[in-house]
Amino acid sequence: MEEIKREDLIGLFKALPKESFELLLRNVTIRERLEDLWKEYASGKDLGYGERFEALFEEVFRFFFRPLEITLRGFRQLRFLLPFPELLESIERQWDLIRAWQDFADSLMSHFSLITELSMGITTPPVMKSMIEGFREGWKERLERYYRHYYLLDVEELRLYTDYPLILTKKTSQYLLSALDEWEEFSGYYMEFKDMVRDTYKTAIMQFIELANNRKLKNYVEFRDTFIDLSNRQFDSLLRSKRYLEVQGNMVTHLMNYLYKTRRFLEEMFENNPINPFATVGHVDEAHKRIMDLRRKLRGLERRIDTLEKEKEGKKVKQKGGKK
Amino acid sequence: MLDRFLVEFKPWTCDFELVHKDWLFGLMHFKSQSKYKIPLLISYAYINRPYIMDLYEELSVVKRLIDAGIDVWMIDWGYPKRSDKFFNISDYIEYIDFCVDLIKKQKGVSKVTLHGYCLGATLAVIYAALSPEPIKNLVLQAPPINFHTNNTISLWAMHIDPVKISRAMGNMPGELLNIAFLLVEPVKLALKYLNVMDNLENKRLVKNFFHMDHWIFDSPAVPGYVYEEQIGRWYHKNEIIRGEYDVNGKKVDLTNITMPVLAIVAEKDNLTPPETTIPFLNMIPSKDKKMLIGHKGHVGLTVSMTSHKKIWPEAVKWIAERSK
Repeated sequence: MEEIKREDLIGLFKALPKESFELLLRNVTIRERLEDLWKEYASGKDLGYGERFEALFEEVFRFFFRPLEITLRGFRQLRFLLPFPELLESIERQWDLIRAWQDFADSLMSHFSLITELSMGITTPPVMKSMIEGFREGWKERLERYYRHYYLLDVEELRLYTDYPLILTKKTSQYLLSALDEWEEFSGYYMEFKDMVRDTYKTAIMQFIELANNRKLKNYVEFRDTFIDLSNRQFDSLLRSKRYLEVQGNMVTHLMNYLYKTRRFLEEMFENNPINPFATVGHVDEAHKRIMDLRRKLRGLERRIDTLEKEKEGKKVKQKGGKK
Repeated sequence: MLDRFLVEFKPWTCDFELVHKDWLFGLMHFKSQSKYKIPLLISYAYINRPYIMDLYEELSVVKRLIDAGIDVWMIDWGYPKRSDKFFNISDYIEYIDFCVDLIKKQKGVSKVTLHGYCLGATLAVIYAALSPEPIKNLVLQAPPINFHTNNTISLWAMHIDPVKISRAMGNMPGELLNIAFLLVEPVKLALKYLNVMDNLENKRLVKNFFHMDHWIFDSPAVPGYVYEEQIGRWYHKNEIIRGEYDVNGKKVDLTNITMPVLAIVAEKDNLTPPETTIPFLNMIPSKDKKMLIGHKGHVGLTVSMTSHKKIWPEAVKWIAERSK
């Protein structure tokens, strides 16, 4: 029997939809785990709910949990924008690093100046040489002036973060706080969703173990199909249950609210920044909405013209008929 | 290497010409030698790609229709982007109207057969109820018209807030819809690839399996406003079957459906079970109506050997007899 070999995997990854590739790999693992369980069972040992069934659970449901968990982790991006103490500490540490970097950059510049002077002495005509030197010195002097000026202004870097709640507009802060609340709600419902799925799986497996341990399963196919049938039956009743519908509905709603409010928070920040050169998604959406409305009006006008022309044609035909 | 298992993925087997392209939508005309006067226009579901009707030469509904001498046209609803968020159902209905007009002019006929599949059938019913004059026959494949059914997907749809989704995501992403469809039978999915892995020697099976996977995961997004209408007005309020749905203020009156109607449904359809269709068939006044029931699922109705042996010959015969 042919098998998918390791060297086929890259080719498969290129050729298949990514979902198929992932599910294919997971199916291979699931089969291996089920076969291992069967071998153990066939050797006369009783089955018990343990690591192997737990690992099977992960393989079966990872595909569904992952997108939600990525969104949960996405919260870190939002957190990074907030003035938490560890962030302030890390900024302080960064300042030491930046100063060290600046020393390094200065010495690197001296090094390059030296190298350039050496090569310019050999290949560049004297007029060009003085131009380059003039530009370099002028630029260096200007940068130093800006730096001196900046420090004279006594701009306290960390103050920006401690002033954070006062810098943001009211609306921006509201979106931020609301996004955090939504994230909390979403993560709560996600935990309940995951628990419901896990409990249902566990119930199905306990039924399967009980049936299997009564020595009713005669071969691997029967063993595998019983596992699938019992699990399917349990999941079918879970997925249609009142509580599941409520949890799934609430989870999706709070997830969507979290995404929307986070976007609106970022949009408000950008829209209130006078040097932001980009249009936000909200702006572009509004433009698309107006284009769509205009397009419909245009179509309406075209239809109206078409009807009028048809009426005009009809009248002409009638008049001609009358003259005859 | 990979070519042991796969050949290049090609979505269509029949030749066609793209006769019209309008922003997002397109109209395709399949090359054929038609024997019958009445052309057939297919309105496929906008949540998937229409090439499932012509994915495999031996199981192609389009080829079967062409071979029977029917002139086949098909609407491609495209891949909506964020900028298409503001499309709504009325834009889809107007495009069906545009296509019907264009076909009538090009073919010199006054009527066409309208063939809708899944949510494309919902659009076909809406159009036929609003503009019954140019519709000679109405063919509905797995049509969701009564949305208050007890299947898992309907129950889920009734428990989510579509406005929150479109507000956060712009459109309903195809990937998210796919996860929902797959979560209906999670354990089955975990073992879906075992059969293909056990039959790697069977090149045709492997090729067909992965071509189907390409189709499954090639899911366009649903424009945000369309999704709001679909979930809010169709699933939540069941407005179509209740006679409460309107397009730009014009009521969708199902009693206008007096033309011959053929409904093709699948017994094991977990997305649009027969209950989504039966109440509709019972309430329309058409004197010539028929229901064909396949023993497969939603997709199997189109691409299974059984359907092509039992359902499609009868369906094509029904269409041909009414296309003279």
